[in-house]
Amino acid sequence: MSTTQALQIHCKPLPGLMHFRGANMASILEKNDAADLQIFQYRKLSDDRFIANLGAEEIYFCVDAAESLELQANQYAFPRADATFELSGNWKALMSEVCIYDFRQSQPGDFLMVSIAGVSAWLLIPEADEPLILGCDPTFGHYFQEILMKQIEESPFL
Amino acid sequence: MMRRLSPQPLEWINRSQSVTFVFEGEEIKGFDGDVISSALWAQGHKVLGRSFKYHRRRGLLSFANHDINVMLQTADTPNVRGDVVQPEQGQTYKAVNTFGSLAQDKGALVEWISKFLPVGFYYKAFYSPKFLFPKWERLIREMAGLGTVDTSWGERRQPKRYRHCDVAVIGAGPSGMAAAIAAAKQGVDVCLIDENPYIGGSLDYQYANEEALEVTRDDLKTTIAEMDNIQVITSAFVAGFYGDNWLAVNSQQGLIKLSAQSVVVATGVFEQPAVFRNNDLPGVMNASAAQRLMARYAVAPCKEAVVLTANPEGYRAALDLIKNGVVVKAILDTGCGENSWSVPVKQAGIPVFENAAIIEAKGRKALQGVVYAVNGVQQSLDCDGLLMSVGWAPAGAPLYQAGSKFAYNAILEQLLPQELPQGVFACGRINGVFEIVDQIKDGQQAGMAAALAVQDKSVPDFTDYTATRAHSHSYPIWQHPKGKEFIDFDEDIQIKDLKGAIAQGFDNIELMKRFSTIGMGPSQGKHSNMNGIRLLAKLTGKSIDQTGSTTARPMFHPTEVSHLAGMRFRPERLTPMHAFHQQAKAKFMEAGVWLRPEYYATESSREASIAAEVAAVRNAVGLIDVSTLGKLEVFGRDSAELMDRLYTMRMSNMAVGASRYALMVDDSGVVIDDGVAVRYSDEHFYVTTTTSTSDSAYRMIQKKVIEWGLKVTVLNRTGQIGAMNLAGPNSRQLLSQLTDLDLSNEAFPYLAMRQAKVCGVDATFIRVGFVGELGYEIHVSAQDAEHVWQQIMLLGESFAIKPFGVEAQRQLRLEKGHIIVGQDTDGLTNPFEANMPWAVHFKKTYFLGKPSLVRLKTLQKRILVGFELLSAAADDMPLESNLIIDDGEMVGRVTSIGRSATLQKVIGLAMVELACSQVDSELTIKLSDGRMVSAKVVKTPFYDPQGLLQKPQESALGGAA
Repeated sequence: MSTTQALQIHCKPLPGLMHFRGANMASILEKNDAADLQIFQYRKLSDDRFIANLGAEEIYFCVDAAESLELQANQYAFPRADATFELSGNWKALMSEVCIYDFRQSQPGDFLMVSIAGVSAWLLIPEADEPLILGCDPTFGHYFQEILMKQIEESPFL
Repeated sequence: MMRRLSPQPLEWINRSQSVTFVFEGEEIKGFDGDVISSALWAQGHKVLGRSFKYHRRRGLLSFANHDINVMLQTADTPNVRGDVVQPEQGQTYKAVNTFGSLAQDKGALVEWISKFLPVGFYYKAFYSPKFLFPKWERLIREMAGLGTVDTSWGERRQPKRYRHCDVAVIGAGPSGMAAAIAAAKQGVDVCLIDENPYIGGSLDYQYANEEALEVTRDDLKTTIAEMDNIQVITSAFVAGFYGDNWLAVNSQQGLIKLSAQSVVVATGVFEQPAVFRNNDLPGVMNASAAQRLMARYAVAPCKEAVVLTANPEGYRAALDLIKNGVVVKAILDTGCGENSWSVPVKQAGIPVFENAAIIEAKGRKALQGVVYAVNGVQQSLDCDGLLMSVGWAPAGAPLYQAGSKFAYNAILEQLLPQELPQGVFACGRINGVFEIVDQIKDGQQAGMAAALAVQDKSVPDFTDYTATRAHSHSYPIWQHPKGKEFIDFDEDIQIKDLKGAIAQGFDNIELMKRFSTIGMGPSQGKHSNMNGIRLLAKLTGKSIDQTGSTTARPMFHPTEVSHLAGMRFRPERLTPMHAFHQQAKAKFMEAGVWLRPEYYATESSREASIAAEVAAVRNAVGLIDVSTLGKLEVFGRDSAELMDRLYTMRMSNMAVGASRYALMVDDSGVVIDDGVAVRYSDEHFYVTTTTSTSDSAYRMIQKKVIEWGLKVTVLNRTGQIGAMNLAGPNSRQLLSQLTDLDLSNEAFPYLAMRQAKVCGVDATFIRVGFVGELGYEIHVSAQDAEHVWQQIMLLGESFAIKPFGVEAQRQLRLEKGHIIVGQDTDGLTNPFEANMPWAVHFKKTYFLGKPSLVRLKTLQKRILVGFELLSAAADDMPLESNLIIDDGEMVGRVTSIGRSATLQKVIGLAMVELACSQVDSELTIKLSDGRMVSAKVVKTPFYDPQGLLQKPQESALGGAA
């Protein structure tokens, strides 16, 4: 179980991460076998990729480098260079020190957007025995990793 | 350990492990688990501290952190509460507030002049003669401190945590434990919080010797231990109760911000001391203090005791004394002692005096006897311990802070909660429930109700378990002609002090508190407020409810600043090129949350380095990282309409592929942001903001999109895009080798935007001239930015390229007279004052701030002007914000200033009154040291006024590109 492992954080690059905005986002979900994906949920795809439904006009999607992007009218795609990390061990204990969110409410498969140590971040809530994937604006990446590592090393609660 | 008892059934000490520490120079031995006070008392010490004002000897009173008789300090920690803090092995402790030592305290001389120091004396004295006031102030400061602050302490921070539960139960006494179990049985998550290291509360000290309750105790504790959905947090107190049921739980490791859907307050009651002459003598203590001393630490409170009681609990305490071999010489019952515990007391042959009144405690350094009266007949007894059991006050801070109201119950002679906010419940003794069986039932129904409230189920009616007899004396105050009856032990407040305050008109509870300082000491009235209210009610002829109570604000107990501070979360942003900047010897500066290169330390000094960077831009080519600019994508059907409404200049008529200066004002017409807007397509714009306003501008625009009901999307891409500005006469030649884009003036004119590849990656190019040279802003994805930067720098070596920092850019733009929003503007500056009327397009139907600007245009009183310093002396250099003076009056201030390496003179911008703004007007600038220097208003730009260098002819570029 992840909760018995020592807390560890390391970089987890997610190449091809794109932010899609605009009309008919359902078509992108459908094309990737995720038509049934509920809002603020994500689904794992092959090669560590994922697709997340953020609403009728917004999705996050790690595109396959081998596939070409075909956008419909009024659809916009913006590459994201987010700093992304994998957090293993009792990540909920660490989150309780840096994030106000009540993780009792979250379920595996949830895509969360929260503030962690003062930085807006997104989280892919994993199954119980899997590590947490989280990402933030790339310009905060250095601070984000440093503060989480410091917390892991210094907190008397962990 | 002369007062240590044989092992007690529930003691907290570990007799196999001793602890040694030093107190007032004497080595003290205790056991692991002892608190400082219990170890001292066990070793025979009775004088554990000195009082605040009169330096009277003090011993144990509440032994529960409800008083500060035992306030200590170590070399680096002040305000150590001896009653609840365990001694550190080898630590040295000293009583606070002594002059000399605890035994020989010169401060005690104050008591000799106490009649000249009535309450509030310091409000009325020391005003004259005036010249003596500083001396009095110094003396009072020296006398009034509690402990010494070592200002050389290092920074300490304790982590904070968030915690969430369905039901929080504050207090793990019998009713709290029962509440936690009842709630947990409903399937909800429960947090059970107690300030003691072990759960049990009064069940474990007041009823420690009640064999009939052993099974009950075991059942409660075992059940709690076995239930996975009960989290027990001990050695932690709820310091504050905030909105939406957020509790500040102060644990030893740090502060826990606990969110609960329902809260059960089972905090119990504070025992209140009786008020009589010399009630502060060491040896006089609350009965519950004596019970804690015996049950938790196996220490006898005394050898020969007298118990003053007004309730059954006093008899229970007497039985505990008897069991532990203390001689109980008498029970002084203020009423008639009929209760279940009085029977065994009387059977033990203990004299019980009914309708007794306490008159005086006798003794010089500690208690030696008591004088009392029974039916008017005065008598006395020798004793070294007097236990007071005369009543209780609710530990109601969490309920008060939650918004509850209390009312006085005349049967119980106690304040009880009356109206509880939704989701807040109370149980146990705070509810006036005193029988243990009833406390458990009361806890069960509160816990059940709290859980049902979480589950949105209806809460059944409550059964009233409130006691039917008084457990508090209605007025446990016995005045003595010679005084020294203490109500507030923290502040040495006596009956006469409160009477004096009331007589002077401070007869409202809040006024009396502030004038007399009752309840304002470190224990915040826990042992004194109720008696103060009773006295005030009696003297003013009001009821307790009419008299009211003071406000119970957080923190419940003092809370370390290190706990409040928590870990420091100070987000910091680095641009994609940060690693390069470090390698290139950048000296960084903070720009909001960003770290930016101020300059690159490539020369012998800061000034030389900056000058070299400026020279590179003017004469060759420079590259600056501008990734910190805010970057917003604006797209959708109404994007042009939104841009028109947001910015003062018309944006909807921009051609695709064009850029335009974008100035934003707020509703009042004040300049709040500027940047560059480009048009990618009919329905897609891209706009930059200043470094510090990207988030606020984005939030404001989002709000406006909703308010205006526009079909448009705004995306903050600040961190996702890296940006750099390549500027200087060689910039085109250099860039042309990295892109296929046609950079000719014809194909890519000044202020145009183009999208093409650079160094093999997609980029947006904007031809801008912020620094006054031929220049290109290059925007690429953040992940490509470092690569592009490196390639430009590599290839740029043959063009004499230099990276330049913020300071060089400031000088360069100053030479062009370009403003920096927030530096050359302030919180009131409008575009006309900023000398930018050209940026306001009044022909537009509407834009944000237009109505204000229409009026402001005719009301202008000041304007931003350029100036040259007339003095050449190096030490005559004004600073930004230095004032401009005319005829003794302030007429403006310097907003930007710098020594122009290009122009070889000091130039600047200043916001001045219109009367001083004419070209060639002389300005007098007041330096920080008071000297005056002269400057002259000049036209801007200072450099290349025709703008030829940022828009050079092809011929001037040597045929490049």
